[in-house]
Amino acid sequence: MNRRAFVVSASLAAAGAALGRPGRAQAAKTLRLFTPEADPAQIKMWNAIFEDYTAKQNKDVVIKGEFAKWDDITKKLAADIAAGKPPEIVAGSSKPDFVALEVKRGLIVDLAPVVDALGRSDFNAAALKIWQYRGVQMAIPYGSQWPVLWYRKDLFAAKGLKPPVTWDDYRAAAEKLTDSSKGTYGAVFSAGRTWNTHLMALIHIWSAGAMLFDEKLNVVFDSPETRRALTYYAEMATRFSPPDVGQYGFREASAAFTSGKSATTFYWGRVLAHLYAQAPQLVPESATIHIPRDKQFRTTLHFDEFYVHKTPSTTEALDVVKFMLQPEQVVRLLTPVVGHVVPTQKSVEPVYSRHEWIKNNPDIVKTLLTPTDYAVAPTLESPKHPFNYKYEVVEARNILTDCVQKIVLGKEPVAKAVEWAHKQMVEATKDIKD
Amino acid sequence: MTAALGRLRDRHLGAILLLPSAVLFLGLLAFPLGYGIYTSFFELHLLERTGPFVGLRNYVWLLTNGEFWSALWLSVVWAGGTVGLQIALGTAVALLLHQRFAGRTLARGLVLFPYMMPIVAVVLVWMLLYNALYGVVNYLLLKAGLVSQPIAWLSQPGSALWSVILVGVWKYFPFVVVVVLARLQVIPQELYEVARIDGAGAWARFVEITLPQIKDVLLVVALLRTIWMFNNFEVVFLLTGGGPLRGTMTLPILVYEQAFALYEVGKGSAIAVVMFVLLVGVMTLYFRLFSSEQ
Repeated sequence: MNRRAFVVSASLAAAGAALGRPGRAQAAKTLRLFTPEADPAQIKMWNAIFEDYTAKQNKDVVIKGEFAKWDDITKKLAADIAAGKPPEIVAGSSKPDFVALEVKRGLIVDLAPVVDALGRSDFNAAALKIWQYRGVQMAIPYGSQWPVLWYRKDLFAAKGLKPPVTWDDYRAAAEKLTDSSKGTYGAVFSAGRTWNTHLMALIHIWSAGAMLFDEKLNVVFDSPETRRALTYYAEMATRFSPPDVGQYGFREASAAFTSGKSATTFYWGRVLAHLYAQAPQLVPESATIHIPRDKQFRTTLHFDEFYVHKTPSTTEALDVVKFMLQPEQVVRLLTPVVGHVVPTQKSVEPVYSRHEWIKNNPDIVKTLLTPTDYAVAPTLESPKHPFNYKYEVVEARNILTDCVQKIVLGKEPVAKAVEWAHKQMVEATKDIKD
Repeated sequence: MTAALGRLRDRHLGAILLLPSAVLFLGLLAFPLGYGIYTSFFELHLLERTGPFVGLRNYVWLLTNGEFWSALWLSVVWAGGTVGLQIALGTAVALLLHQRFAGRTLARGLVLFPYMMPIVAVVLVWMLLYNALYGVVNYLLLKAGLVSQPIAWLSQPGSALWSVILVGVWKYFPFVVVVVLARLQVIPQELYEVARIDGAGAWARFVEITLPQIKDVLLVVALLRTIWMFNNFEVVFLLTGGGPLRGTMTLPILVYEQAFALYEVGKGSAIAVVMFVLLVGVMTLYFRLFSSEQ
């Protein structure tokens, strides 16, 4: 066989093989579920629930979990959307501001009919409201959450300290609890370019009486209250927090407490699961209180949710979400990080509250599970505010975290950094329309 | 007639055989590059993938943007620092491994380890080494009395960039070792013997014989490593994410942030195009210098 004959024969054979491929039985449809709720125990539970869905509910659907870091979720979702392949389901993003961008572009499914099918009266109405924009129920919340102050009862008792209520109390306690020569610190005020830093700074700004936006969504960031809050924040970060707070995000803030490096930390209920897994001896020594206040108590309010992208598999995805929101599945979902979120369905609460971690740790779970009237959703800074469609850009551009870094790491005067951040916010939001 | 037909068929066959390569080239190189340049002329939102044509506005924006110039400078320091130190360290280690000593083969294998390690593992190891409280680096410095307080290497604006550069040097210097060592092994030994007879010392032999012999290899290594390090994203991003205070915000991270965090694909593309042009400029300069010397 000469070369020409070989090439022609090989090409014909390849074409024949491609065209004559025998038809295969229809494969199961794969749905992607994207979530940052990805502690190892949570991943295990997600996968168990996915397998149960396929085994018991729909053998033709396989669910594949995709897990991400908190600080990466919007970037990964945006990249997937740009590629034309968004995950069919997103769970636990806690980012109504980003999902609102998707609503504006018609990318997601209105879940109001699913809420009705599941029983609207079973859901917390305020939680549903946070996920409504332009008349669309953009997501269904399955749990609400707010950060608190975790503290070590034994270390406070050893120094004769009471749990702090005000900023002054906390500053005084942190000073006594900090011994940098031993590598122990009284506080953890994050200053990494992270979502955690953004939220913690926001809580203190609100506590001082300031806001990012007024009720007409004009930027009102630069105020004496904001400067006061960030002056306090910087002092706590530089004097009483570990020296590497310039890189801290969620995980580092939790790890500082569970490793014994810090006597206190701001965090959500997830720390309880981390303590059980990493330092069970510290569970009885730990407790939570509300984050110390200036003029008023404030904390952030977020809701873990399910939402569904418009894709060729929307029908199947909606069925999966309905399955996930059955009380027994929600309880399974919340169990690996008991105390981290409060169920938003009345039918889930009784089962959830019987968990032994909740029964055995009243000092820890009381603050985590009892709803507060001073938790604020960043997209609704007050009951008089409309849904803040401008907020996302402030968070995405890290304007608040850059401001904190300028003060804490760059030693810039607070007034100058706040003025800079205010201008950045005005510039970034000036052309954004509802 | 038959011969002419045969020639025509040969020409067609040749074209057909080249087609897969041409399609691959167009699909994998020319199209993405062309599309990147094309999108840089649009105000493109990542979630919409559409937007108005804005001509050169994205380029005007970046040329008047302080963040771009800062990132360009940091990229030059990052690429220059890592490449310079990789070449210095890589050449020194190659010279050492060129000597005869017990365990040389093992040492030649071990020196490749940093290059073979997955980048995520490298970053985790170095983050532990740099850790402000538990890190070995601070432990040794404190023990030696060189510092009185632990240093947060990756979270202080003054130390973050050089800490990251050190990791880049450690990770990639074995590439220089391999290339230089290969070149050292083909330098005629007679040259060294003659030099010794003439009384040349070790330094003189290095400067007069070794360096001229490995110069061409070093230039190629410098070019390749400059391109790779200038475009390197993962080392800096995983260690610092571009912080603190944007102190390690190199151009690739700025592109990522612009396109994926701020959803401004057009501006991100414009920065990427400028990076491409800069590297083409460096390559052109290199080849001109190289060919004139040849």
